Order: sequence, then structure tokens, then C-alpha cells
Amino acid sequence: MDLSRRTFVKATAVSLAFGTAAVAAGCTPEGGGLFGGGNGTTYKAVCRYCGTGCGILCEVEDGRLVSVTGDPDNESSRGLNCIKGIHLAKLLYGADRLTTPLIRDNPQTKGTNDGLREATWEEALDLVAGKLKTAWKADKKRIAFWGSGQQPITEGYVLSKFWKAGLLCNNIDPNARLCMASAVVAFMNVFQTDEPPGSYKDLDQADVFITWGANMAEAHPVLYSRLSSRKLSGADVKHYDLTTLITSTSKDADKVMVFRPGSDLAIANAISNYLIVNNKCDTAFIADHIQFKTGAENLGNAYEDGYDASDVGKTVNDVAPATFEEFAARMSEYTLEYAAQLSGVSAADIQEIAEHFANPNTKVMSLWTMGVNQHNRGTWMNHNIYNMHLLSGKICKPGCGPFSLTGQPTACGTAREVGLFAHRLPADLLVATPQHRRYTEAIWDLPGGYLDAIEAPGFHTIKIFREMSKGNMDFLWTSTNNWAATLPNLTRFLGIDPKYDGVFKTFIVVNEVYPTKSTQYADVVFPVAMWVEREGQYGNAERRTTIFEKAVDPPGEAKWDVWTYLQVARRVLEGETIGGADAFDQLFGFIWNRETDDFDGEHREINRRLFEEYRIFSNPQLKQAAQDINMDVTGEFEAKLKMENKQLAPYDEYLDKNGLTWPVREVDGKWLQTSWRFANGSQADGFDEVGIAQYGEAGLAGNVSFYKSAKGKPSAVFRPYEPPAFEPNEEYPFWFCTGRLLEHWHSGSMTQRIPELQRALPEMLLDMNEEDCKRLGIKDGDLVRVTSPYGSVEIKASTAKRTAPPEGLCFAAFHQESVLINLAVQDIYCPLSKEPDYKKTIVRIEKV
Amino acid sequence: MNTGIIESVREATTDTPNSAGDAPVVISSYLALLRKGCEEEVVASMAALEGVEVHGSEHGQYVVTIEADSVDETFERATKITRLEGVTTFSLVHCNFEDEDLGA
Ligand code: SF4
Repeated sequence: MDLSRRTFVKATAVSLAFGTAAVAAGCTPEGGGLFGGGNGTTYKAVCRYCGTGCGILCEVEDGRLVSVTGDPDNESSRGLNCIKGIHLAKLLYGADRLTTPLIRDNPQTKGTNDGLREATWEEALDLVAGKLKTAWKADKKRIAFWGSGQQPITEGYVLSKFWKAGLLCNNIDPNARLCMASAVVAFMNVFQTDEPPGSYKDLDQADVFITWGANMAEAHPVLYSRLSSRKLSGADVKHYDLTTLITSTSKDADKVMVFRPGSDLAIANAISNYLIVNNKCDTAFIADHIQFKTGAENLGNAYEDGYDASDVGKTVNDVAPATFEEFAARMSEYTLEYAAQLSGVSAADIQEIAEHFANPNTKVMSLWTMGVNQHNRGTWMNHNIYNMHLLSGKICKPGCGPFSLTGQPTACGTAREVGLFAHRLPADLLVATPQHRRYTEAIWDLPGGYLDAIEAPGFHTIKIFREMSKGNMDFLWTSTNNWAATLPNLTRFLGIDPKYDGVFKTFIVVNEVYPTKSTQYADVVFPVAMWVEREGQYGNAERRTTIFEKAVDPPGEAKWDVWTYLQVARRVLEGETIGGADAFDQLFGFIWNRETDDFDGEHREINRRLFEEYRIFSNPQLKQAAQDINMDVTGEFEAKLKMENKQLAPYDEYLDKNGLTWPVREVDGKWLQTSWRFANGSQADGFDEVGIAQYGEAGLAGNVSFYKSAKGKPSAVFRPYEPPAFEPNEEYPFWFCTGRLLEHWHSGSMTQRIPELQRALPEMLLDMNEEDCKRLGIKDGDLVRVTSPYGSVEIKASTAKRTAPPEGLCFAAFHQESVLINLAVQDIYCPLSKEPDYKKTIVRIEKV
Repeated sequence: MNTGIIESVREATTDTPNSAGDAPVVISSYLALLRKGCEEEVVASMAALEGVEVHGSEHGQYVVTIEADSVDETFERATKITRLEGVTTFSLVHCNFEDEDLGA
């Protein structure tokens, strides 16, 4: 770069930063448009890492990316990215990008770097389709797809339609089962709708923030920056960090409360109880909006494979109505003192938080993610957070509310909204509910009753892999995840425990962009496009749907994932019919050209057609047969479906607007988003005016109407404290907690592929308490062996305090395949959500 | 724009871009939120890092640039800043890597 260009680029960078500071503060920067200075073409995109969903403008010159800029028009991030944005572009260009299909001829080479040979697409597709067809015809229970919260919406939609309607198989689940399932089940239990009521805008207005087991500063940096801006804005804003270990998020918190693992359940209950016994509940809000319940208790844990079908396992979802008095009586056990005794947090500290909830003028925001969700009572802990907010009426108001943060860029948009789960259909619909199946049949033009074959939910993630490990799976296909690194209990699932060698017997197909731990176990690898090498759509934690445009071509022979699904579907469904018509044409004829055996149109147009079909699920007025079932015109069902509740806008609106939070409503010819669900007020200001006018009731307490909930009332369900699956003992004296750090993401399958980048990334370390180290004779940097009842792993110990665990607890991130910490992590899961508890494995630590 | 602190730091540090002329360079800009009360020290420790400049503050956010030889070096320096005591958040705004052969 010559000096004048350098001066110009630097001046541009500086002015963009000053402009963005204004945008982040809610002002319009001087001089208007922020982006400029480049010679290339600019494409709109979204970061492909975390659930924050930051907008990014990608500048392309001569077919390659030359700059990235935070998108000032994306309201989720308002021009900011975290430092991971620096190497986003570089991720596309790692030397070992997969560019040709690969086939493994000898399954005995699985688990090694050898054994895969290059193949043509034709050979690889024929092989995969043949294996799938044989396995499918023999026994549908022995095939599965494991998808992802990183698959764009149209990709997840095609997949769901192929698997559920094409193969009539429910064995499809996403990696979001490992991160969001507890939040999802609680959303459905409490509100009967899977969504956060508030939005990121609450971060700009809250008076009190409470982080529950969430290292937001590292896992959701741009949102943490928004929280910090609010704190530094001069207002008397407080942040309480409730955590099991000191993290970067603790550093600037006003108060840090370190609690004993699992006792968050009791702390939240003590706050609810404080509101009840001190008459500090919002009684008008309760009277208008809340129904009370109790639920099944003494659930034990999923130690055995047969847990779900056991007597107790079958009851876990049971609830019974209760009066407020009955609910209060159950809650009364949770005095501040009792919670203090269980948690180790002082009664005075818990009371300090409770008083914020008790103050009707204080806006309180609870924020949580994996600490709450990856919990042996993860669904319950989500409930207990909602209970505090429901009792105090601190919900559906700007600056107020419980906010479940998501881990992956489109865990909400694809895994949840498209419904890639074993029990779901698109848009919150359930396979088990007849009206939901009829509605889906209407949209997919299937004969009435066609989907009755998938009435029973399929296998959830851990069940899929437990069955596979026992040799009960013939075919597994995975995409956009790295299961061989991120699943818990890898000692079992990777067949290191010789009792479980199923991974070597199952035919495994992996769609990937780089060689990973999972491709080491693949029989076939399909090389695919990543990030902006194709167009896609993400849905982030605040209900925002955003399109990322195709900016560059995928390398070599790498293809769009959807192309691989349809090529296999076309082969597998050969000769199959639906209602007398060719099955493949019936499902995918609207985007596929039989003659060319390829997409029937340009890339954007295919995305648009797919999205427009998907959009009918939330716009029943677009298809009369669907609308009839939505409105229950025949009266054969119990109620209306209210599918407009999650209304999405036409595809091109998203291209224009850099993302919109649903429901998006058409008012006077304009599509307006919703920031605060169930809150009455002007739609133009982000309130749920259209939804309430259609299905809700005006004039209720707090100007709120929960029109999607049964009887218009969310449920406050009493959920007690029940202990973790295992408690430290003489043999295994430590808790082992796992998580993530700022510089990496997920399993490192992308970030670790760039050799030079490795230098800048932190080494995988086991953070330990200094006293524990002293006792065990371990020094900073020593290699230690961490052993649990599940397996063991060697890792370097650290006392550098990247995170600072209390005595008796240790922490490691899970980003490095060479230090596979999940070999030692338990696969115990929350009985309701089936989401594993990655945070509380018991271990012993020995110096190697 | 608040440049008071910045000016005092500029006087105390010498701004030496790590490369000049036609050498490849990656230029990126950031907004930093700093812990209240220690802004001056933190600005000084940021500016003391090679290739790092602090340009002023707006709406409580400090505008920082990093000039480095590569994306990786940029990331390394940015990571260092995120770990400095007193840096509450450090967000990327723009990164130009037109000079770098990303391997395409
Ligand atoms: S990783 Fe998350 S916070 Fe960072 S830029 Fe990407 S979406 Fe934003």
C-alpha cells in the first residue's frame, strides 16, 4: 500500500469509527452515510459466529474480500463487531479448505487423518443416496440427520421438508439441542411460544442487569458493549454477576456473587419468595396475566440410556394447575437463609437483588445463556427466572425483562423457527398435534393425513448418538457442526470405550468446509460453501431475520448445502410418489429443473422462492387451505392457530432493511418490525399493536396482552432446587465447568484452520484455583490429567486467571481438537429439554 | 470530540507505524469503552502498543486504530488490548486487508 492510499484508508477507518460511536449512541453521524472509501462492491452480511447477529458490510474487489465494516444500519449491532470480525474473511481462505468430495473405503481408518480419497460428485452422491435409501427402506429409526443453529434458514427449511415430508422421518435434530433446548422448552411451557418478549433495545434502558452464569463479555461481546455503554451513561445502573467462577464479565460488575453449581435454582426461588412474603408482587399484573402451576418433581437424572422411557422419565413434563396460595406455599421453603446455605451467596446479597425486583420503578433485565441452559435442571432454571419477572410484572416493557441469549448465529432463525428438532415442524408447530400436521400438509401440498406417519417425535441428539454408539444407527448425515468435538462423553461416542464401537459401523456423511474431528469419522465428506460464498439468512436472539448476500464464489468444487440435499433427495425419492405424483417433484419441483438436474433459477431467486414458501407458515392468508386450518373454519380443532403471530415480511424487505425483528406487520404499505412482544403501543415504535388488535385484549395490567399463551396467561410453574447429577466426592473432588472464550468460537473448526492465526489464539488451558494447585503440587503450565467417571483428558493447568474458579472448581474452553475435553464431560441431560449439562462434571486432577 | 487525554498521551508516546512505504499493511479501527477513572492510563497503555493509535473519544467511546503487517498480527494486537486492565469492551468497526494475500 503506498503512502497516500495508506493515509486515505486510515482516515476512512477513523471516520467510520467516529461515525459508529454516534450510531451506537443513537445519534445520526455527521455527513450521513458511513460506508465509503472503497473501490469494490459492497455486500450486506451477518457475522457467522455467535447469536448476537452483528451486521457486516463486506467489500469485494476482483472476486476477493478486501475489507469488512460493522453495518451501521443493522439495529442489532449498530456498526459494531467484536474482534472476531477481524479474521472472518480469512476463514474462507484457509489452505486446507475442502474442495472435492471425499470417500473413505475402509471404515477401520476412522478416527485418523488417513483413509479419505478424492471422488467425483457423481460417485459420492450415488454412494450416499444408495446407502440412505437402503437404510431408510429397511428401518427409518436407524437413519438420522444432525443439523445446526448455523445453517441458514432456507437450508434448514429444505432439509426439514426433505427429512420430515420426503422420508417421513423425525430423526433430525440440531446442535442447538446442546445449547438452546432448555430455553426452548421453557419458552413453550411458560408462554406457548418460542421467543424472547423483549429485544436488544432493552439493554439501552435497563436500570439493573443480572447475568446468570453467563460470560457475556466473551461470549456476546457486542451486547456486553451495549450493556457497558448503558452502565457508563451516567445513570445509576447496576450490574450483578451471578456466576460459579470469576470471568471477564465479573471484572466491571458492581457485585459478583459466586454460587455453588446448581444452586441458582434456589437463589431465583428465594427472590420470588421474597416478593411473595413481603407483598411486593405486582398483584394487578398477576391477576390479569398469570396462571400458576406445579410440576413433576424428584426427576433423578438420565444416567441410563432408558431414562426417557422409565417411569419417572415419562412424567417429566407433567404439570398441574395451582392457586397462587399453593404456589406461594411451595415457594415458602426458599427463604433467603436457605438459599444462602445452598449457594454460598450471602442472604443480604440475594435480598439486594430481590429489592430491585420489588421496586416497581426499577427496570430489571436478566440475561443468561449456557450456564442456565446446560444444566441438569436447565428448563427449570429458565422457569425460575421467568417466575421472578412474572411475579414482579417486569416483562414486556422497554428496559425490562428476561432475555435468553443464544449461542449460534441462527439457533433461533433455523433450529427453532424452522423447527429442525425431532418433535417440531416449522414455526413452533409440533409433529404430535393433528392441527399442526394438517396446516403443514396444506402448505406443502400433501394429501390430508400424510404426515400422520411422523406423529411420534424422533430421537433427540443424545439419543441419536447413544443409539449410534450401540450400533443401532445405519446412516447419519451431519452439516454445519462438529459433533466429534462438541458432543459430551466423546469417550463413548467416538468408540474409545470399546463397548461402544457403533461410530465405526454407521455410514456417516459430513458436509464440511475444512477437515475436522468429524470428517475423521466420515465415510463421505461433501465440500460445501461457507458464509458469504452463498446467500443465506440468519435469525438472531432478538427475533431479527437478516439476509447475508453471496459475495464471492466457493472454492473448487464446493457446493451450496442445499444442492447436496436435493441431489441426494432426487436419487433417494426416485420411484416414490406422494398422492400419485412424483415425490421429489411434489416437494421440490418449484426450485429444481429435472432436465439440467440443477436449480431452476439464479441463486437469489432460489433463496427467494424457498423463503416465500416458508413464509406462508407465518402468513396463512397467502394460501387459502392453510388459512382455513389456521382459522379452524370447520371447527374440528380446539382453537385457531394464530400463525400470523410470527409474521415474516416478503424476502425483498429484508434485503432492503438490513434485518427486521418479527412479527413484521404491514401497516399502510410499510413493513414494520416488533421490538416488544405482547406490549400494546404504536407498531411504528416497535410495540405489538397489530398482534394485540388481532388476537389480544387492550386495557389489561401493564398494557400487556399475552395473546399467544393458553387462556392468555403465561404459566408460573413452581420448580424446586434439585441437586446436580453428581456432587464432588473423595474420588472426584472437583467440579469441571466448560465454556468458551472471546478469541475462538465453537470447536475451533474454522478458527483453528488458519495456521498463522493459531499464534494469536489462546492455548487450551485448565483454569484452576491457586490453593487447589498448591495442594496438588501443580504449578502454572504443568500438564495435568483430568479424569471423570466418563473419561480423561490431558491439558495444561493455568493459574493466570483468564477465568478464576473458586476452590474445588476448574474450567476449560472447548475450542481445540487436540485437547478434546469432551472426552471427560458427562452426557447427563436436563430431563425436559434433553440438553446436556456441560458445566458440572465431577473430576479428579493429577499432575502428569 | 474529547482529545484532552489523547493529546497528553501523544506527547508521551511516539507514534511509530510498524511499516512504511509500499509494505503490506492491514488497517483497522475500533471503539473502546474504558473503565471510569482510569481512562488516561488505559489510553496510554493502548497507545504504547506497536501500531496502535488512539484518536479521540466520542459519546464515551475511544476511537483506536491498529496498523499491522497482517490480519493475524492485527488480531494479536487487538486481543492484547481486550486483555488490558481497564478496557471494558473493544469493538471492531472496520478492517481493511486489501494488501493481504488471504490465500485465495
Ligand atoms: S462473534 Fe458475535 S459479537 Fe462478535 S461480531 Fe460475530 S455476531 Fe458479533
